Amino acid sequence: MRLTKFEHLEPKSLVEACAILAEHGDKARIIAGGTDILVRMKQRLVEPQFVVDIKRIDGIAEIKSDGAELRIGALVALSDVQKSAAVREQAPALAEAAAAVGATQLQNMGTIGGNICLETRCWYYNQTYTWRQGREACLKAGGSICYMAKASKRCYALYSGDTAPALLALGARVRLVSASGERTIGLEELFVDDGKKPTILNPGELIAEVIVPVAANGQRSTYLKFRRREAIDFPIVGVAAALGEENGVCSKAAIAVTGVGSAPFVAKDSENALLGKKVSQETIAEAAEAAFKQAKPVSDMEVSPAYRKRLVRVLVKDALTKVAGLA
Amino acid sequence: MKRIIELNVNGVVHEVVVEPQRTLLEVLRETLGYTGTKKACDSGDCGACTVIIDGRAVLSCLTLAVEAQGKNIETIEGMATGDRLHPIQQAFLDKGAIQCGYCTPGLVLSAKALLDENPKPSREEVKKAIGGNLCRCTGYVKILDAIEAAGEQAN
Amino acid sequence: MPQYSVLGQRLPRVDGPVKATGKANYADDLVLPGMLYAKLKRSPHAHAKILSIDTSEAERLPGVRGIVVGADFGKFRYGLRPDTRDEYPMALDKARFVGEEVAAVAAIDEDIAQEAVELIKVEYEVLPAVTDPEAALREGAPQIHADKPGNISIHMHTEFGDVDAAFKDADYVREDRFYSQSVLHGFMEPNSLVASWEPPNRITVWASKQSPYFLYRNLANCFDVPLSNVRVVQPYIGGGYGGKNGSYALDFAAVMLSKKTGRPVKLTLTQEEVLTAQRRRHPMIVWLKTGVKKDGTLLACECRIIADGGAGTAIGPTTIANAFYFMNLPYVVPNVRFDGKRVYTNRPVSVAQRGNGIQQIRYAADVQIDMIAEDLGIDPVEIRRRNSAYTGYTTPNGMKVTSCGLQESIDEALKAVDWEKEFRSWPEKAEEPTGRIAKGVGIACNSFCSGVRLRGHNCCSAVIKVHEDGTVSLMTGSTDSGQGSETVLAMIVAEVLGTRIEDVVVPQTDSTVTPVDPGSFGSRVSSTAGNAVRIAAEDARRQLVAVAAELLEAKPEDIELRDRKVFVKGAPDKSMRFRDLARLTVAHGAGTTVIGSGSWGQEIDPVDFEKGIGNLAGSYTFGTQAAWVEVDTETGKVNVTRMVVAHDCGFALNPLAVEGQHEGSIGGGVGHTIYEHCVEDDGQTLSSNFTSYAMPTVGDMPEMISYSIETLDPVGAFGAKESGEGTQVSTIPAIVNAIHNAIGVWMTDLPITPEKVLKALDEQKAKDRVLSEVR
Repeated sequence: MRLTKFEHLEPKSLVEACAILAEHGDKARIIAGGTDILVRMKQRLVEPQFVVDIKRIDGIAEIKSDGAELRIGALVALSDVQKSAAVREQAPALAEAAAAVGATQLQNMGTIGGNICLETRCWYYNQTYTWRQGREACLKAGGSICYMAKASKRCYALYSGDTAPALLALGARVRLVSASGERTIGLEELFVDDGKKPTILNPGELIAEVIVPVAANGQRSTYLKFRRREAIDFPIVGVAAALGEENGVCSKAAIAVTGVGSAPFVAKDSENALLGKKVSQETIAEAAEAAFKQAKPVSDMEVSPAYRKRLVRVLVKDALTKVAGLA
Repeated sequence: MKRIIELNVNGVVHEVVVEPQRTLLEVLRETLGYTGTKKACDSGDCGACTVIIDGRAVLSCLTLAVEAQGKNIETIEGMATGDRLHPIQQAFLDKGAIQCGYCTPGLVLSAKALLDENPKPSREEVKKAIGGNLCRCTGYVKILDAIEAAGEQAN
Repeated sequence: MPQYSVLGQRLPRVDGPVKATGKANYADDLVLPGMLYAKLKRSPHAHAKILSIDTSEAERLPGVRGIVVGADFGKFRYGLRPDTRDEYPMALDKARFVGEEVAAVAAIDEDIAQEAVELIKVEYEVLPAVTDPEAALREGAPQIHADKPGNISIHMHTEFGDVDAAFKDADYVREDRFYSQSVLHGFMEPNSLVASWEPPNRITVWASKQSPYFLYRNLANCFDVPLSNVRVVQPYIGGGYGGKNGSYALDFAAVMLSKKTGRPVKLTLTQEEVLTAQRRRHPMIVWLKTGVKKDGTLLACECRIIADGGAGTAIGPTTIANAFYFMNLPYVVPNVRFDGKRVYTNRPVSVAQRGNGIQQIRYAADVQIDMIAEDLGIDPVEIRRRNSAYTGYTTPNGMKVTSCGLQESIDEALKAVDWEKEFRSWPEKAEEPTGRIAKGVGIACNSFCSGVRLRGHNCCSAVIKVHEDGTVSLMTGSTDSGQGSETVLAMIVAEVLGTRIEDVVVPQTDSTVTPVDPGSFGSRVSSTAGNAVRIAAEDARRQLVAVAAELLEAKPEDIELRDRKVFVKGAPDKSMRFRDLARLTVAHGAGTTVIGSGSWGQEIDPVDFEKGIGNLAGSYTFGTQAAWVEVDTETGKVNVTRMVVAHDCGFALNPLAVEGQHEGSIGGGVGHTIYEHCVEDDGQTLSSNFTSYAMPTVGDMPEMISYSIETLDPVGAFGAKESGEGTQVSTIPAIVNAIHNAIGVWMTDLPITPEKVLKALDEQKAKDRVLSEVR
């Protein structure tokens, strides 16, 4: 599978990168680890004229900790995320999520910024150009039909990133930069439940940094991933949970789920089921039930929506049980 | 637009003319003749094209050749010293870890990246390191044995 | 056990160093001067009439050197038998599956070839398609081949004994439906070849073929050239498992493009093309009815199968016949009735895959025997022992068991798993809480043909050339696609000639030089080619010994060859180096270049595929497998944690290689049982890469232990029988039986996905609830 022709640009600074992106608009695509974009380029799902390699930009490939926040540059490789002592101590869910991505080589290549921006996926969309000639283009490919939900007006491609739910549960923010300036938003605000365009990133805007608040005393977190195989696979369901307890009651609960919709979702009802209560098998079961109710998976070739919903309940229960130390 | 770049493969610097859309896998195999690096899935799913860049196992099918400029690239061809096999290669041979051989170069390099960093890995660590290397012939048992044996020997 | 100096050793493979260093050349690694690159244009429709193909724009693209379409091959069709020749080199009048090859382009590079493929315009009239074999059998279903009414590719109906009377006599009869899904061979190296046409009528191809001689014959027929002018050279093969046996569109297309352009042409598929449009295992629906006595003695089996053949027949007749042949073995079943239909559908062509047809039937039968044992309250080991085949047994249709280590394999497997302690039947444990992770253990037995008797070319042959420095070349047409046969055959030569394995070179198959061979399938190489190599080596040895006897002034029968030396029995002072003997054979007297040759084939009559009468193979293997599983009862995920194999391989010529075969079989079997299936929509394959087609990774594999039972078969070379396929046959039922032992449900629909497990558990709970309410 050959890539089609493009021009390869290597900005040395964020300012330069943003200027290039602003100039070329939709004709340009960012490449960092390349593990997602190059596959889609080989499949000719995107055929950029300009590939903007941001790997030579200084200052966004480090992990810094000032005691209150972990600042993880967008270019930090997933393998460095999982090896970082600071991440393992302060944000174990993130270390676990990074270690659960694809396979070792992909973790060595893939970056945290790229993993957050992982494009949504679908059985009918992630196919080669030739394969797709067999049928009318789907919504995500510019057509007007969703093969997963034929009556649908929207695209149901699935979000399958592993690190985003961990970061959501940890309350992370992202610093976005573009030619018109920069903004820092809660990660939850980045995502929209639309398979066609799953983030609010403006054209020419990129993630420069991920900011993770350091866990309060006694707060623990984890990420659990259910997949067919022990490696390579995207999650069928992934659940991250962070839990804090003070004076015997739950002072912090954050649960986020991936693999279920076009965006990762925060299970607010689950959190409410725990906050202020004693963390026990019973309250965990209630939280899991709440997540089960909140999850609205669509059909997929691999598993039915009903099964995926059940998995959400099991994984939320397992994740909470683990962080609560009740296993 | 074609560009002249320098690729350092197994310590030898090659000057090559490439177009930016060429993957490292294509340039290694087709331009430089390092055909030991195998093309199997060509889309990042199988690990057959694994090479080591700056000490880390990566997929050459998802690496642009222009981006490998100035880095240390290790391929299967650089492992043996003269006629003497690298201990990992020797262990693959002795333990029966090779059958059709198509996944072997990628697996040997995944193993090398692991053992260079962690000479005495646990079986679980070996499994994680080669989780992205598919093999249909062996059921992986003898591959695990070989990598463990190579690790022990290095110590 | 006989004492050998080379055989029976755990020797590393002879092609190991070249593979470990990346120096082994596979087809896609080859480059010839002036070589062009070819790409295929494929049908996007499952069933469509081809109205026109316009290649004009593609031809005008700079860099394009040649284009071929189906019409370039005239009306040539190919297939296993005259009555099953239903495949064209490339689609002619219509396309019969998504991905069928319609045109091919050769250009100066891959990019241009691909661009040109996209410029070819094909006008189709889309026809109704049928992708389900049961639907294809219904009246009014779309007809896929005009000359094959009812979409029947193969229909085999046969019966031995008095089946109806036996069912009447039976104390217990059970009937079940099993389904084995569509799975792929999963070789890592995509199909590839380099073809070169040399005028006026010579063809050379370097092709990734586990059995080069199908292609050799098909090319000779298709291009009307003499066989001696078809040179199929074998590079290293990156796995085959049955998927690189035959001739495919890419092969014909590359040769035709070379003929048209006058340049060598390379055609390498992408893995996506392999996964979506190349060959697959036959999906099969199996209805199995079995009657037994109260004590579990098998009386009769009746089996009906519908196999999804895809759009062509290929080697399909053997698949259906194999399913019949293994209705009873490894057990004794006196009365059998079989009705097997292989049905055309608008899907890629189904062929042999490791276990060809035997897998699907033995999975059904060895699960059902556990079902029956449980229904009757008999121990699953006991029912197997009671019905075990034995040395000297002849099946009702005439298959002769020359050696049988089934009972010993059961002993060995049970010992290894501490069965007495570990196993309690599901009814014994049913009332106990399993906990979230339910654990189970199960066993299954297998049998397999070792050295299939072929109806056409049956024998294997070998030529041995002794060089004057004492090294030896072995020329054989039996190919090594990774299983290690080169190594094993080299060991046989070293053993017979008293040299070392490093002195034996096995050049790869080249059809103008190496003897013609049927190919590497049907578990033939070790047993069948092994005998040919033994005979050739003995021939060479005789010639060497004659010279040695003269030189050492001894009787030929007193000459011994051992470890690169020549000895005289009873005369320790008389000896010479083997290399000196080799040098002197060409110089002594008038001189003799030692060339040994040998052929060997099973001395049995060809089988009658219509009725299934006759002896299928030279011998049969037997084995027992035990599996441990853990089932997560909340997610439904099954984890196979450990597997034990005890296999009667007759004699382990190289135990390291034998273990590798078992482990590979388990790998494929675990994938087939739990992880893999082709996801399709209207005949289009959605699982088009290794992310979506889930071949097991290292973390999905059980720990494995394997034992060889050595029964020294009287037919196979040095007593050896197959070890490459039988184990994959029993991997599936061993896992299914273990899952039942863990959670009490029978999984009869493959693959056993977590969702199916949960559904079965839900149904079981609902049933229990109803039962307890009734009580």
